[in-house]
Amino acid sequence: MEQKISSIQFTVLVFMNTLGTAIIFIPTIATRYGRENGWITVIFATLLGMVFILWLTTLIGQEDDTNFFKIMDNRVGKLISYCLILLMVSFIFFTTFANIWSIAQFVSLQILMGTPPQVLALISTFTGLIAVRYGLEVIVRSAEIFFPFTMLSLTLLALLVWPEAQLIRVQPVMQLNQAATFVGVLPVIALTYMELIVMLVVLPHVNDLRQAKKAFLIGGGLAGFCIIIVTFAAIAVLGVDGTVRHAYSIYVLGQNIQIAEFFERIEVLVAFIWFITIFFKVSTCFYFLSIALQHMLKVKNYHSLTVPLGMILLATAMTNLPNIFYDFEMMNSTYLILSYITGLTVATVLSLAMLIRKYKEKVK
Amino acid sequence: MLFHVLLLITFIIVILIYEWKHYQGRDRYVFVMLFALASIYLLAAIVDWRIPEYVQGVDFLLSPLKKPLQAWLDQFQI
Repeated sequence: MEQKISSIQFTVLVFMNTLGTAIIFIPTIATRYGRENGWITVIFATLLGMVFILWLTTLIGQEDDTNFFKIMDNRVGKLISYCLILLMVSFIFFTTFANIWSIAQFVSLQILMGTPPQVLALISTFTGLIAVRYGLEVIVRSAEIFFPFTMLSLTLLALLVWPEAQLIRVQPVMQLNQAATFVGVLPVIALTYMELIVMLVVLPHVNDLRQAKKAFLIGGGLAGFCIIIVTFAAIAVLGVDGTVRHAYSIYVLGQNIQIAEFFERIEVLVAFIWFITIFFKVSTCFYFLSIALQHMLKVKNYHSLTVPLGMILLATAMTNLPNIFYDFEMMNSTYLILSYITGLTVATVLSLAMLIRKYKEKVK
Repeated sequence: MLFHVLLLITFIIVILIYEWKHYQGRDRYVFVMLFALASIYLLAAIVDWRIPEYVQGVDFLLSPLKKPLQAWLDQFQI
């Protein structure tokens, strides 16, 4: 059955996917590079990310097919398409199990202390598995339901920490560490916008493709704006040292909320934002992997691949990433390289194929 | 550990019985192959068998790029 979604639903899904891991890790990573200019690093990253999204939107033309991998086959030939799919699968597989493990570690360290992260990873994988088996339409409809709640939590977080903010902590603006401010854009984009290649598999399912391209930009831009605000708030409230020292600085930001000695320790708002956004990120990546494997293994029904894939994801998450320090090292090295290689190779090869086809049509 | 392994075996049996009737032909064949592979992999994770890790593999493949990049990025980090 062909699955169709609206452009608004697509915007929401892009928003959730961009915010996923980024909302919790980006303030720390951006501040590590840009220091008091960390929020400016995120602004530059968002602008460059929008350019990347614009590039991604040009990759899908007016094809009738809703399967992105079949579109790739038609455009670049089976062999190159197969290599590109393999590259994308390796990257998205990494993203999925890293996300599953990071939420499990976060909950195990901060909320349900003492609960083994393996159990939490099992629960996260299982919820993702259920979502994927229900299909894309159900995933985007649930995203639509949770979107207002996510926005409300984000707005409350940004507003309630405001009394604790000291603007002196974000000064001087762009007077020091200019080079580091720009270099920090690299890991920030790798963790946010490069991962959006996963949306290429959803893009052809949108009813109106022209609206979908706008929706892609709006979703990415809105998420970027939220990350800028959160990073600014983290630096203004915790200071550069406080933001860098904590692996989950936004969670510590939530712990700072004190309103009239009545509303206190509502950091669980942050946890809600992360639970919800990461669930959609894991589900979308899981869906991508299922569809990619379905295409590669020439299977009729992708449901047959979901359970084994979930088991492999769980086992990989449990064994491959030992601790949060290793995660940060990965984000600044292997993951960063893999994300750029995948994102840029896929976009470049598909764009070149499109240009060559247009040139050939002109010559004819 | 024995309890975890028993739980895994129960899970494998239940899932096989439940999923078997849903797929036919190539789908069923691919499902069984992948499921067997995934079960062994999950068992290896539970009993701590030393098997090649995905991240180590990617790390090894990208190591020529990783070291210079990390050295360059380290100059700009706190």
